[in-house]
Amino acid sequence: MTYVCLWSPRWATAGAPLADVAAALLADVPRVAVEARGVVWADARGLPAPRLAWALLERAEWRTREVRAGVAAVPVAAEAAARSGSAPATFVEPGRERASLAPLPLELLAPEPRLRALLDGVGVRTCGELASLAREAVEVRFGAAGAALWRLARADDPRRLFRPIPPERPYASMDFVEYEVRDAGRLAFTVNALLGPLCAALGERGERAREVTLVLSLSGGGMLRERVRAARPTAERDLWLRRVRGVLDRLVLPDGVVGVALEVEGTEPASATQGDLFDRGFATAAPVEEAVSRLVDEHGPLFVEPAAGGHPLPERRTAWRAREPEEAAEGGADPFAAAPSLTLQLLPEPRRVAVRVRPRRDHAVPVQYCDLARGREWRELLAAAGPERIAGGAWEEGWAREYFRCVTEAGALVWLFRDAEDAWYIHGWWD
Amino acid sequence: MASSVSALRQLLEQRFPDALPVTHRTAGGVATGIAALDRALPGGGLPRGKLAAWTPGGGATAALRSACRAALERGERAAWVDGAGVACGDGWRGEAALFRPPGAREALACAEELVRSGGFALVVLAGARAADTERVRLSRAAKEGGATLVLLDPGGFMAGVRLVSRIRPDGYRWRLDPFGEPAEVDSVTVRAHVEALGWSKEAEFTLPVAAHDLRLSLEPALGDRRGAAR
Repeated sequence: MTYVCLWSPRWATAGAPLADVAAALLADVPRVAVEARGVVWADARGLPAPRLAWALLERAEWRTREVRAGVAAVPVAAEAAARSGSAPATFVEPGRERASLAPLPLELLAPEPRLRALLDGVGVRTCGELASLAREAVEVRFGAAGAALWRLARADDPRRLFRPIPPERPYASMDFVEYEVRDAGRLAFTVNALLGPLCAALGERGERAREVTLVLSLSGGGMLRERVRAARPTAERDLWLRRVRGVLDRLVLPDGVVGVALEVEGTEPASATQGDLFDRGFATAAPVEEAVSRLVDEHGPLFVEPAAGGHPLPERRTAWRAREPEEAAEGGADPFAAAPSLTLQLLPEPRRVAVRVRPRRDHAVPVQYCDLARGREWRELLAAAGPERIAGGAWEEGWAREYFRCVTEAGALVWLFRDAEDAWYIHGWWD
Repeated sequence: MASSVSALRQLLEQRFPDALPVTHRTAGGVATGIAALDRALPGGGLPRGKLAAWTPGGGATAALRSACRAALERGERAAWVDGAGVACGDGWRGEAALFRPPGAREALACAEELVRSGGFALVVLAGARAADTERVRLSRAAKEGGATLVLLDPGGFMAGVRLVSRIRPDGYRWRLDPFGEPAEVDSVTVRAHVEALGWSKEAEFTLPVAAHDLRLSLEPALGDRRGAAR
């Protein structure tokens, strides 16, 4: 018996002080729910239900207000017992819910008026008479509403009056009573001590943390909150310590700290990865993911893939999108990938070079170049294809370039360009 | 699962200290997917569990990206550590897991971590010079992880295989414009020299050249407003 239903004919009227009744009941039971149609529910799971029912009746002053209680494992049976019982408290034994409903009139289940008339027309007046029918027969004749009523008549009540209570998120804190800390670096020791029980709690619950919030209580009364994320959900103490340390290293404290707390913001179950036994890389997927996670945690989002943009300048055309560590373990070849070919290797920023040119029809082509950052050696250019011209940005930062693909005497294919100021640059090479 | 695998590995190492992972000696080399080059490499590919040094001079990136793709097709993994940030987004076809560390030092640490994980058949480190001591460290990591680590770097210290490649200046096949002048490179001929202990071979192979499309304007002074994302 897990539900206690309290009902009084006076509560069905508007303006009944149900909220006051519910507040009074909270002294005996942790969870109470009120329904607008004049029913009060108490969650008796884990509590001695008979004693609790009488205690609640006492609170609800049953002697003066005609309050009755029904106790059952199924809500519909508890409510029917409260409404139909002659004694102040009616108890339905576990497993007898359907039998307890059987002699009761269907009106107790509050059917729709149209449905009630139809059932009455065929002589079905009690819960037992409806429950004895076949479901298909009820559904065909009375529709979905009839099938729902049929389930209630069989004490099959899917209602969840009380939602499961989510477990409290792991939390650890420490207050400095006699002193305050003004150097953020010194807080690392406290954080290390707090992470021990925090990660142990996560491990016991079989969970991993996605995000942890570092909360610093300031001596002036304020709070400083810093969110710390890991590349992948984890319960590893060392990893979280490294991440929090990284935050503390760049943190400027506006005031002395008198308390430190760590709150786990999001968790997920530490379930094992499902994979394909015939995948040769599956056995090593977890170490790969761990290795990439460590790299991302230490060096930032270095695992990337290109996202093509539309900017005319080659150095601004590609944006690099960070990828998740688990994607490194996935692998998989692109079936449409081209055959091996020489591709452009593009310098992040063009590098200044000196160039000697010769005239060719209406333009000048480079014949020698000297990479100024790498000595004073002039390199012969055996061939030059171009120019390919780009220009734009006239209203902001204008550019105009003439690109040449040139073959050096060593055989390298380099990409040179001349800008509008007649300065020459090397922008990349093919390799 | 990862912890149980590592526990099993530790137990095996204690019981059988001379045992080596199955990839050592029993598995073939990491083929590049370029037949001529694979024939020139000892064991038909880049050696597993060792360092390989490739002196860049033309064709090295193309051949190694081909090797990455071949590894993926075999169901293995490949990683590319771009220490200099020169990988071009337009030409990248996802042949390997791409890592762009912020500097050369981070690139070395990144390559070591990836190689040591044991999950990659091939790791290429480009654009970061490794000193001799770092090469020792990387070599140990490669042995521990059973992976091939290729350094695109002129030095050959600690390398099981050393390669030098260059594009033959006379190996360019051009498409000419109406004036008879070079307009587009169709393909190039790459000559690679492979050296290992008691091994010296050369290979020559032809590679196409991927064009890099520019947005063109006929007149340098004319503002080209097409497609600029703002």
